Amino acid sequence: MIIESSITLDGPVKEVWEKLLDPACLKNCIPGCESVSVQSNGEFKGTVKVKIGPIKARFDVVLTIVEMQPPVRLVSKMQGRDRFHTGRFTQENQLALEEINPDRTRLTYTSNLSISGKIATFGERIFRAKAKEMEKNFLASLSDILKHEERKQ
Amino acid sequence: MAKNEIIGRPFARVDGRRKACGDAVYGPDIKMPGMLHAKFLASPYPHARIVHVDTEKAEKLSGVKTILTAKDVPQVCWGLMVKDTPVLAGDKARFMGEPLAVVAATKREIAEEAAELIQVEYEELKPVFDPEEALGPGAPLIHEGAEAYACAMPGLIRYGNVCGQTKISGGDPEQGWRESDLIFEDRFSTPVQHHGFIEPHAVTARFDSNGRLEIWTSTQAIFAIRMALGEIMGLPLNRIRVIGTEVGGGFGGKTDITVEHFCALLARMTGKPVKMQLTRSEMMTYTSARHGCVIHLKTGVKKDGKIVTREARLLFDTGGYAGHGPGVAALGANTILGPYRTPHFKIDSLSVYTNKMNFSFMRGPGGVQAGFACESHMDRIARELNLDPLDFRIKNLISDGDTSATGQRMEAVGIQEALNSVAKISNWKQRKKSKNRGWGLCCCQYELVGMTSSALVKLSEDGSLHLVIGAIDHGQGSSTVLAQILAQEMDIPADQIAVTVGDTDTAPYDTGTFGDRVTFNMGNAVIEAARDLKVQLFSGAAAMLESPAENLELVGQMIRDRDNPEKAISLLELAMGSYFFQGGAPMGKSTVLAPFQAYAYEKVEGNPYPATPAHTYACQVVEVSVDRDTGMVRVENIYSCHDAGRMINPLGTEGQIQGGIMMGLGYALWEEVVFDGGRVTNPNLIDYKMPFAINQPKIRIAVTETKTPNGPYGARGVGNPPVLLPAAAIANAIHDAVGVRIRELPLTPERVLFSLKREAANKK
Amino acid sequence: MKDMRYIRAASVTEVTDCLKKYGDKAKILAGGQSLVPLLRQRLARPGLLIDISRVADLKFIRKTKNTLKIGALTTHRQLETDPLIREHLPILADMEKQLASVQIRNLGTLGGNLCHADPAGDVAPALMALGAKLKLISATGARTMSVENFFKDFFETAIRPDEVLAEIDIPLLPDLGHAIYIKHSSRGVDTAIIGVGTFILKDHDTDTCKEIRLCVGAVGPVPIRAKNAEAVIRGKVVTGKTIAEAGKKAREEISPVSDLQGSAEYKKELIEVFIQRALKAASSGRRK
Repeated sequence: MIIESSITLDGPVKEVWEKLLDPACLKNCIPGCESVSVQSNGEFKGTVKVKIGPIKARFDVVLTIVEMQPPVRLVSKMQGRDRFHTGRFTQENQLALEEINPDRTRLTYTSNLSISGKIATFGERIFRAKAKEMEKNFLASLSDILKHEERKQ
Repeated sequence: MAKNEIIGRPFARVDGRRKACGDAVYGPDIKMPGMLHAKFLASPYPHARIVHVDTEKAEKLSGVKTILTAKDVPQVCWGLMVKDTPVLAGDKARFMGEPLAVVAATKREIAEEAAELIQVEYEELKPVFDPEEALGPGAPLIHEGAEAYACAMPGLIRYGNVCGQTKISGGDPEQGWRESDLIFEDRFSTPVQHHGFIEPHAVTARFDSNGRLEIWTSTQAIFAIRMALGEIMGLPLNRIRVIGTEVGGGFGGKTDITVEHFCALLARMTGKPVKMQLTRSEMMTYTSARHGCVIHLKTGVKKDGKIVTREARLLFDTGGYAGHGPGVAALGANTILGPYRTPHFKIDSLSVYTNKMNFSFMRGPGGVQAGFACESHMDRIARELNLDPLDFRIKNLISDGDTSATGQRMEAVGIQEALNSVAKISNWKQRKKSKNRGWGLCCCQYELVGMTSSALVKLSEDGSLHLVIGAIDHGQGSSTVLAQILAQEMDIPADQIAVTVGDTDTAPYDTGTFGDRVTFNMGNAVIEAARDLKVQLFSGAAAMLESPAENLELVGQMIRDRDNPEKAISLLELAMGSYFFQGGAPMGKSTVLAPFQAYAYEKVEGNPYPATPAHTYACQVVEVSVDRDTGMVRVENIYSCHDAGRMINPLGTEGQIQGGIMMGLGYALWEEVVFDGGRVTNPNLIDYKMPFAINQPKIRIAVTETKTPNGPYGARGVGNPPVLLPAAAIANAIHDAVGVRIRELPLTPERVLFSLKREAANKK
Repeated sequence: MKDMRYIRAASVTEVTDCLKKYGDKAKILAGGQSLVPLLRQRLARPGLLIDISRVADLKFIRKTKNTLKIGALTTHRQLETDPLIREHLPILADMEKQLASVQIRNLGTLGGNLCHADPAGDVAPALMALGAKLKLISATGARTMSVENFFKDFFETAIRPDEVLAEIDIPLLPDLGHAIYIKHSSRGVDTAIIGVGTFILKDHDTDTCKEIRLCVGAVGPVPIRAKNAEAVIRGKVVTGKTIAEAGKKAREEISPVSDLQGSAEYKKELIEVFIQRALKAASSGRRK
């Protein structure tokens, strides 16, 4: 499934770029994220808890940067595997940043998500909707953090 | 002789009671002491190189007995047409769901957990999912070095991602286009359909101490399973015993090995019985299903409605492995002209590899896809010529003495009578047209499969009869029909006959239960075996009765002299005499290779199958109503007429037709295995929508009997055509109701609604 | 599954005591029509299963002066066939006829359906339209909450880990009040692609709409009210024109997502059509 969206964020392009690669920020923005760390090879590793009613999954996630043109374009691939073997997912992301003005940045985002295993077998209908919602929350949190950042300055 | 008493009379199923009472033994019912349970690890990628497989962690799990990966299993490739399928994927995975490793453990749950603990390193490869794209120049090759594969069937055309291609041509299409007044072109596409049997694939295997393999499986073709196992296991066939359990639905999905080889290999490795039973999602992502297909049709006609010429191109998406794909493409090619006289034609039908699971046989293979396209196309032509769809078809129908596209002289063509009959029961000419309601018509001509059947009839010491055959009754009622045939031949009540099916150790060879071949072909074999037995009985009785054998007849379980009925001996006496004093145990046996007219090979290229020994015919009228606001289609009435050649058991005939129509109805309206790239998104029966009982419309069935010269009593199979009809009949009825022609299945409310909206927008 | 304990509770007190002790490690099993498949797939792995199917105190349908009280363990089939329901709240019997199959209705319970909180559930929009209230009981007491506030997210409700849903309390329809439930599903008794529960109360003298609730299921994480559409109707005489306008408003205010059941665009079409159909049927008073 393809998730596409676009949002205007407070802050200059460079700052948004840094936030997007900042493990602490990512941890705060990804819904259910418990930890994020950067490995020596540049990969991001983390765990994300997803709960949908009685279904609980904890994904070990690895994010690999495939292509990067700081601070405007980032292509990454995320792979997650549930610790309880209920399923796994692969997500290919393409992200672009564009300056609207020195204080505002437009973020455009396309990702192709593929969930497999029991978790997908059983609740495709729900997981599609849930993934969309998680993505929405991610962008909302990011937007919030950036707003907050500006107030501090 | 009291002939015709048994043939054609409704007869309760010989397996009815044990099924209704729950003591029939199906695949999942098999249990053995010390039995292990197996699970496989499926590839999570549709196309990936397998770099490394690490089973260490999985092996440590308590209860795990053994784990096999590609390196641990015989390095052979199997396949019924193209030998392209490894036992376990080793160098690369070609579809998501392909087995890479198998685990045997003391419990199913443990085996499942262990399979998940196997660590595999993959290198993803560029996949291809669309058969059209797979033909393109830059498309990734799914099988590198496919040329080197051996082929089980001769004459396959293979190149690139094409694993089979059938070309048929006749007349002079170029001249045909010149002669045509009008030319119509359409593109149709059909979805993947899951068989949806209630009983999952379930297999149990064990080796005895002598190294002999015994395997219990829910299958339609015990000898095909034995043959494949022999090849994979490296065993002579006499060291393998395949026992077919009761089958809870086959529909073509249980004709090949699915997990039999996994169980056999694990049983050999562990020395214990091993059982594997698939889940619904495994069935829907690993085992076969009906091919999705894209069909282009172009037809030239005269103004008066005579068909002049047709060009057809069919693309069957066969998935990661060939399976029966090349044969399905051939059946599609043979069916695409329908039962219509077409002077000029050019047909090209391909079976193409993609990164999906292997599609193969499903009830009416090739014909269901081609039937939807051909009959929708026919309906469009009739409408645009302002001809009644019935009249247009009648004008073009073939009849006895015509030559088929593939060069056979057609005989016992039953379509004309069937069409008249369906027009009558549906009151077609007086059909009432009201708002948002419409009527659709559809015909079909399909083929049945011949090949080899053999039968053994044993006369027991007490004079009772026992029929021993290899042909599984997978629910369609063949054992009942065969008991009736034997009863008819031996003039004995059918319920006194015992039928034993499905054990390769005891039954003589049979090709399998598919392609409408059991009544037709095994029926002939049973008649032959009965006659062979009678010859033996008459010769024995001739000596006892001191009458010439040619004077004897078998009536009411007595053999008597036709001219001197006083001279008679009962079967019991004869059997006793035979067993103890003269000749030994009487056994009738037969083996029949159905005779057929060979293809005219100057017209046919690449068809891997022998030509059919007989065609099958049916037609259908459907009345629908359409909700214009939601696109919801309601099938109000179905009138269906089928030519049975000769009905053996009207109860079974009607049951099989009804079941087939429901399967066709599901295909028309709801059923589709949905893919997101290479991943099946609805591998469960919540999201994959088969019809419920409440969705069954009123179905009226008529049966015509145009005797097939080479069938038993004139009979031919009736199992496949019912599935070929509903999709086109309903699509045509929707067009009649609301004026939109939908060329893509299934006819979901969404598809109907948006077609209506597009149509409205176009009109503006 | 190997680490799961099972208790069959005999009373509500036993249930709440267990919940108090085990909290969110426990899961309540009622009719099993939603939970058992999840257990079977090992997607749900509770430490304790509390089987409440034998708790007699949760099985009842009672009429009080102004309401019908229904025990949470009442099965769908009981709801469909009960004479009190048919007389006073025929909308519920109608809704049940469209919910799954008789086999499932015979086992599945009203409370189980609500607590499972499948956004495509049929019960919730019908009960929302009726303004039903839920009684939740814990070891420390009881509280009441409207159905409308009960649903929080996909399969998530406001119920606390120590609470059990005990009773559904439904106001009887006032004179001139009408309620209906209609749905669209591909095979007639399938998971809803859209379900609309509607309640309309008209003024006796002016025939204007005094009260209206349009509750839509299967179009988001929780069943929702089409409030802009309601606003079009409220205080007005219901006519073809207002109905058409309400349909348009509903279409604008609801954003369904695409899934296997249908694309977002198709669901938008259905929202408009079904809001109109619901309003037409409810305002014509075909059904009480």
